[in-house]
Amino acid sequence: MLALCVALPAAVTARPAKSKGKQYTYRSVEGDPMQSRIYTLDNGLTVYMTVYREKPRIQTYIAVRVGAKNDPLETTGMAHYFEHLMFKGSEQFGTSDYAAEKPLLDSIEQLFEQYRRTDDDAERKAIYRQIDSLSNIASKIAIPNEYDKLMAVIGASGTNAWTSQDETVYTEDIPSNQIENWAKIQSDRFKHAVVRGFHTELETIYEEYNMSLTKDGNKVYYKMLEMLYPHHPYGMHTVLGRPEHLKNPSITNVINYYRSYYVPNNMAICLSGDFDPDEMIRVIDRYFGDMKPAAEIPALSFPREEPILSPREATVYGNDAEFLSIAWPIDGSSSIEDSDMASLAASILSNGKCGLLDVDIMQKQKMLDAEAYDDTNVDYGAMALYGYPKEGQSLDEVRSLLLAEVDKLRRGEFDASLIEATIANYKRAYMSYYESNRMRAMLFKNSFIAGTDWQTEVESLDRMAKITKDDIVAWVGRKMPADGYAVIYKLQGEDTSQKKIDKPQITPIETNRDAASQFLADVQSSEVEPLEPQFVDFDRDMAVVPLAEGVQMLYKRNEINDLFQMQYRIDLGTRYDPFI
Amino acid sequence: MRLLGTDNKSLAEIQSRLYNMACTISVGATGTSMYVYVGGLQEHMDEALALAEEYVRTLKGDDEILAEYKQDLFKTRANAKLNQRANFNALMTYAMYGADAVRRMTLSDEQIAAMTSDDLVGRIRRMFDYEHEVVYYGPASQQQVEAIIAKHHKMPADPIAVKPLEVRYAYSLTPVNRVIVAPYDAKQIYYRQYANRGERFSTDNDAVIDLYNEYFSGNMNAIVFQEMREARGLAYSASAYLSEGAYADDPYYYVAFIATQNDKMRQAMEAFDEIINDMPVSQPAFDLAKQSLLQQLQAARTTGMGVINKYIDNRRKGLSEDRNIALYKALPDLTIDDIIAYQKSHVAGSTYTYLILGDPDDIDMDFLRSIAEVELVTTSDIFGY
Repeated sequence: MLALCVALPAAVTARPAKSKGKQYTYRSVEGDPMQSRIYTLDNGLTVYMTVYREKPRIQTYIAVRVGAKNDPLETTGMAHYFEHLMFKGSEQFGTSDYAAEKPLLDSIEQLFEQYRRTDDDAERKAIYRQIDSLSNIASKIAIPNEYDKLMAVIGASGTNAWTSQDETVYTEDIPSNQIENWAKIQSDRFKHAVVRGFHTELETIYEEYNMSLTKDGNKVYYKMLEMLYPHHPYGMHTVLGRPEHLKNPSITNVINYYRSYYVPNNMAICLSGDFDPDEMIRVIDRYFGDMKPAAEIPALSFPREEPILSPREATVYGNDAEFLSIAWPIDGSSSIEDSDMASLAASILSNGKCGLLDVDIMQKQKMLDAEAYDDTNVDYGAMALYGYPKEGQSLDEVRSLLLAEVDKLRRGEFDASLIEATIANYKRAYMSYYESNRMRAMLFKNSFIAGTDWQTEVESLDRMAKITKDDIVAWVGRKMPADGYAVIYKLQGEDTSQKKIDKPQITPIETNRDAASQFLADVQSSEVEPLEPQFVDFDRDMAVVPLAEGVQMLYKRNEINDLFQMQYRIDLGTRYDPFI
Repeated sequence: MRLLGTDNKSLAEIQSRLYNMACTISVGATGTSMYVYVGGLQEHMDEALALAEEYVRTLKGDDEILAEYKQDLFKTRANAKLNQRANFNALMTYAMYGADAVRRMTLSDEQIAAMTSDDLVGRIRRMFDYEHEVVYYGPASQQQVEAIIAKHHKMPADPIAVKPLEVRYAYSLTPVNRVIVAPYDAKQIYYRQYANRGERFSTDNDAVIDLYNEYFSGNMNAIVFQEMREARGLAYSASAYLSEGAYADDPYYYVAFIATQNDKMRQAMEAFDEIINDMPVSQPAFDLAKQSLLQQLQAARTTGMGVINKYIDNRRKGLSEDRNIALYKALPDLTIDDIIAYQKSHVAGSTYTYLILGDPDDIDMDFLRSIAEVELVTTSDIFGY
């Protein structure tokens, strides 16, 4: 049916929702397997919805279009540690008396400003002792972990958040009967966040930083970004930030940052699960509708990188086995052409079965491991390869072998049928994505952060199916020229550049475990329609079928899609027989 | 065996065909089972199954490929010894199963060097001679699936019985405190304490254990997280909980984990000791844990492959009913006194094997020696090669 519209773009229609009172219009895209609805509230907040009723649960992502790339250059690491601070509560929860607490928090903020401007070691120690003791006093009024308690009370799972270069995303998986409570808690958290427990949270950040020092993969990745985009924040600092900035943080900068970026016209709520969209948008508008938009979101400007004319090389040291990484810079996920091409090119190079690297290198045992992939951030992306050497093989040899395969790609020495097969594999992947609330909502989030229209996501496979071998070869010729790459030699050995952050002594803060704010008490005693549990009835839900002597089948019908999975299983494993 | 083809088809041919069908075939093994996995679009299942059967039955060895594979295996094993996570996993296996079991579960370098093609290929070719099971989750009807299997899968004429229970390794008990230190050059230690009192598994304990775990360590608002991270800033991740094994006769065991910087080791160990043995008591925290657990059970649904996986887990423990049924019935009646009583009788006062992966020159060895004689193991000891 949809094929009739092949000459026209898939329709994007605005429809009013059927509801009493305020009318909410939403956009949808024809042919969208997720039948998504995209709302924009008056204050600019975007709300993505897709209904999926397999379980009485809803996956929620609250995504803010801000990340490490937006860190002030004098206080890097801010996006990330602010994400941590977003778990500390608001004016109404996480505290037993905000009026009493606020002046203490203001003083701590001032002390940190003083601390960062002081160079003398003895003076700094003295100021930090003051910060420590004031924080201890303030902590007596605070109630740590109330946000987590609130989420536990409503039966949420997967409470978490993450920060990357382009985004900060807050995740909760909630039962379907807790929409109102969830909206009430989240809106208060985002509207009235309070920076408390700062100096103990800093300890955790230092710990996270110290852990990152043994992650060779991360170190290589950051080196790659530095070499490909030296004039963009991607290449100028890591998400965790520089140790000297982490040791001299600024609460003042944090609050300014929060006010600039955590605004509705820079945020999206992404939802997949068991709910009624008409109801949902009303609830969200009620709680988030009064968030004030910003007149202007600070824009990131950066000079365009010059093309790489000859290979850039670097060395990184770490404990893990050595490997080589090569990458070409391309445009970011905001460029549809580069996203599509990079995806296909990466699959042609390496798909685990019959890509160029798979056939020429892995099947012929020429390297321990070799893979190609496309890396996408919003402003820039990369076409990348890595290789692990065999015993006695040098990294230079690894480099030659990998580059030879890219040469083949550039010369078009691959079967055109790979493109069609790749699309078929993507289709299969999407079928399993659609089974998961997490993946469905994640697709929304990706589209929002990249700033692409949902229509381009819906059309992506049809669009990619039109790409020809000549298109790919032309693109590779332009974007992956023979000398236009960066290469990193990850060597085995001690990294003398790394210094762990020494953590100062801090006084443990009060956990005030038995205290509870009125806000928590209200949520705890709120009445919701309880869900009835459903248990597995093995006789009803699956079948145990004898097939032959010594062979039986465990069978379950997939009512959702056309994917099958089968296993022949024998109850003997490596603990029984290591040769297996 | 991603390196071999069959008597009639080359590897490249097989992989290419699979990619075109958007199907996957893989042969693999876990600690407790070996399997052939086939998955993809139902419309191709017939061909995929035919291919899988041919693959298993007529897998063709090659001595040159084997020789190269051995070299690569040595290299992969050597690489693992450099990795922090791999070292910690090895240390945990070593402590949990014992040095003897590690040696028997691991191939020595000599064994690998002496491997013949039949050692490996033969095991795959003979797989279906054993009693085995077919697991299917997909859109075809039961009859359709039975027909496809009958068409392509040759049943064993005289299936070899499988008696896995005879050859399992038991979890080691911890009658006295032990301290094991394995070396790894980093600024952070990976730490675990493991206790096993040999207590028998029983579903009667499900409710009280789940609630204890939820209260103590279930969440970011639970005791462990609050004390180790929030209050003391010791770690980015920490946990402590009572665990059951995979089989009915595996006893319960207790584990606590933390990754923290070297000079915080003593503080972390003392903090764990305090909160595990002298558990902080809080009625509000208990109420929260209980409310949370009940809500999770109400909203939980087991679907798809989850049903079959639950069936298999149950079977290992000799159970036939969904455990959540009894759990949901028993939970509402539990009080904080039940949790306290259970903690006092089954957790407090345990003796542990303390495992530390770290730099012996940079951690407080004197403190460790005050707990028990420190066993310094080598990387080879824990990996078994």
